[in-house]
Amino acid sequence: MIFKYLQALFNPDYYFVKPYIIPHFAVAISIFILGIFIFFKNRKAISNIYFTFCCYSAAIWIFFHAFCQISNSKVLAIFWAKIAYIGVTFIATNIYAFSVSYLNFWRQKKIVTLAFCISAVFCVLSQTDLIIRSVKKFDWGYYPLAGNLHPVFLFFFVTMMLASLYNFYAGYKQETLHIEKERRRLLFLAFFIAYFGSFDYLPNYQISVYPFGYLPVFLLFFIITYSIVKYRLMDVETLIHKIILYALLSSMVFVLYAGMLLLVRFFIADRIVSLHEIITTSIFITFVLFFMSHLKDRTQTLIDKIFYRDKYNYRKTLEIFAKKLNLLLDSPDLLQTITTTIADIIHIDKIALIIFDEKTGLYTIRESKGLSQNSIEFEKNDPFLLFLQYYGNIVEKELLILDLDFKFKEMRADGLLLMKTLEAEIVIPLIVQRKLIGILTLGKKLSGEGYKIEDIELLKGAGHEISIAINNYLLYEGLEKTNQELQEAQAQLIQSAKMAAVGQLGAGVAHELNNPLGGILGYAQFMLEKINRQDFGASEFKACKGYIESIERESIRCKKIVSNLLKFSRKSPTDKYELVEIGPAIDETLSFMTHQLKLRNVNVTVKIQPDLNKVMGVINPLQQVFTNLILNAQQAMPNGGELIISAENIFDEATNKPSFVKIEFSDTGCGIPEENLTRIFVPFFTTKTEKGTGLGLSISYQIIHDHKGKIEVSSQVGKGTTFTITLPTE
Amino acid sequence: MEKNIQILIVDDEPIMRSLFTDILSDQGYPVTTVCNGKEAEEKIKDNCFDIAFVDVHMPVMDGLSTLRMLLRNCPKTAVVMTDSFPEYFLDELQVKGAVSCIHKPFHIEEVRSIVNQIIEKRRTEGTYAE
Repeated sequence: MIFKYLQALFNPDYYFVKPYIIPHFAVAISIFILGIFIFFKNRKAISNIYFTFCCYSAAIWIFFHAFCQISNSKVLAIFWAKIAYIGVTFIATNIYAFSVSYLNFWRQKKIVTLAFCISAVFCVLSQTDLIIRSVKKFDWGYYPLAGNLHPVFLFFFVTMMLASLYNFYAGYKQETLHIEKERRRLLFLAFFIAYFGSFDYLPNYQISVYPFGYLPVFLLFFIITYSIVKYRLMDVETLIHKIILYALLSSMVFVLYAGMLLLVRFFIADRIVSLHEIITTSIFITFVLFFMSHLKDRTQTLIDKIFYRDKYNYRKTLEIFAKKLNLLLDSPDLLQTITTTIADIIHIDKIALIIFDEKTGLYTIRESKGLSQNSIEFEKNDPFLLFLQYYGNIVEKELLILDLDFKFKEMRADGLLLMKTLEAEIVIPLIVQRKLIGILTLGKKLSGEGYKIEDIELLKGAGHEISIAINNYLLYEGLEKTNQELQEAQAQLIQSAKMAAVGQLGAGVAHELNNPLGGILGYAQFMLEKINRQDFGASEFKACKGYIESIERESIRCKKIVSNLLKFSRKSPTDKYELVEIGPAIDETLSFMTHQLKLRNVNVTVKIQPDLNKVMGVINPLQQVFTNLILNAQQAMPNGGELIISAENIFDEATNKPSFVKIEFSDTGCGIPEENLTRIFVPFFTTKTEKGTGLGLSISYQIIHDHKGKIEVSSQVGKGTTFTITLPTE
Repeated sequence: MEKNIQILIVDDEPIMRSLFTDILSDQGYPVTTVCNGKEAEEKIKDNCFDIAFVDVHMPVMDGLSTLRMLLRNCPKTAVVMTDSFPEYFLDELQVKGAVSCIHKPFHIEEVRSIVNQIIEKRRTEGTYAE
């Protein structure tokens, strides 16, 4: 029975096929889908539920009115008209309820309840003849005629309409937050336009106006969608974006398919009826297979261009920004570049970059601009920062204040406090591998405008780039620090080895000093005696002059020895490179060593090329190397021998310019066995069981290596050893 | 008589040689100086010295070898070792035949008194070097 009834209801024979009815259905379906999405986006928000109700009631109205119009029998038309009124009776009430809930005008709560009751009554009445008495056939089809109570319903409708429009207007007026004000303005506009659909009531009173009501509703749909995209109304922008994309795509596909079908029919005519559909379908499927993905990308681009025109420029900006960041990865200016660039792009004067400091365990300002205080720190377990780490998205102050879907509930107060401290409107979390390495906070725009969706999109992308760049920067910084520590340790080691060498030199230096000191002391005493004598005359005076000269000469000698030794043992900066003259450097080194070399019967010959080039280096460490090599030679010749120190320019074969200096230390000592030759530069390798630290040569190697030079050794057991140092002149 | 005492200075340091010469010549002693033990060996071929001041640290032939060489060739020569080494080391040399040791840097009076002591000793013993 019911089945038969339904069969009759949807029997195409009972309807006229009219192309102009299609938009009615399209709008009804669109608005129905919009309602569904807004509902599913946040089922808990009452305003979302009411908005969904608005969509449903409007969809019911348009959808079933359309059925009414195309019915070809009066009975059927009346049936659809009455169904349609189930929606119509609730439209105004739903809009009103939405206005109250969206704007939080909860003092009107009772009116909402009352309005729903009245609507329910009208809904029941609409199923009798009191609201719709019959239908009339207009040019465009059947349309319901107003019953006796219809004017009363109309009065109720208009009252509700005015009440909700007033609510939106009042809400708009009292709002101060830019983004929200904009939303309310658009909502007011959307519903104001939508109410033009009320003209559809005119034909109820036999005034022949085509019911174009679906058009204002379509505009409503469009405006709401626009504000969702533009102002993140009800937080559904991506969904809408996708809906539009697929709606456009499917309509394109539909048009193409229909077009092809027509074309094929035109050419092949009706001669082979079944064949043409097969051909069309197969061509179409092939076409779709080949072009679908391309078509999708193209459409996507098109939509992006329409909806996010500014974002297109932003994308380019972002690309440039990312490139800039990549270039600066190891630069100390990176952090500053980030803040200044972002400040420039967004046009803000307050910005702060807060980075987590592993050492202190605090989030500290590393770079800021325009803030009244610069030494702000946040605890690692600040509830808002913890939330950001898990949330991962940009947080806007306005949205934090509104907290439409209660996601910020827990740390709202902390978030607002942080934003207040940093004078921020926007907080961008910088996350790498699920860890919050820092945040970037942005203040108000100089233009006074609020942040738009394009800005947020740009910042989202930029935030990602910044996170990676800063993470790399921090890694690099850590590496630098470790490197520095290593260098310090190495400098310490060099110093220790040097002091060990000073220790070895000690006894020799004491002799070196005691001889001139003995002379000075002796002559001073001798002179004092002479002066006190009775017979102090001209010849004595002359002799004394000679003694004083000796004293002076020997004092200078002492001074030189002491200052050279001090110079040698001083902890020197190892990075002050300058041009060093090798000849004088060797002489100075020898000055506090000659005596002990002489004692061991080591004959030292120094052969320095007269026009020897200067080398680029630090004199003190180089002298340490010379000392080590001379000490080594001395120890290799316990019974005396020859030490030849020579230095000469080495020509670069390519340029034929002297680009290296070669310094050789050749002794006639015991030599180094071949098996030890490869190990002598290894730290702590020593053949001297008591005297050596085993560091001298390894540190010499290190020092020469730091000078970008080379140190090599050749040796013959029983004949002697030659150390060769090559140092670059520039 | 006393002034006929022959003194030899063996030291590689010119300043030491000249200081010894100046101090001792002032007292009227003839002073001969050499730079090392080898040169001293040459000098004593002609005649032995009464007193020799020998530096411990010298190239070619060190102080200890020079001491031995002198004692071997001229047993009557009074050898005084000079050096800046710790005293215990010099004392050891005294065991090995040196009559005294002077620690550098020294007071000139020390040199004079040692010379005087040696001369006094020689006079009482009547043992002058030939």
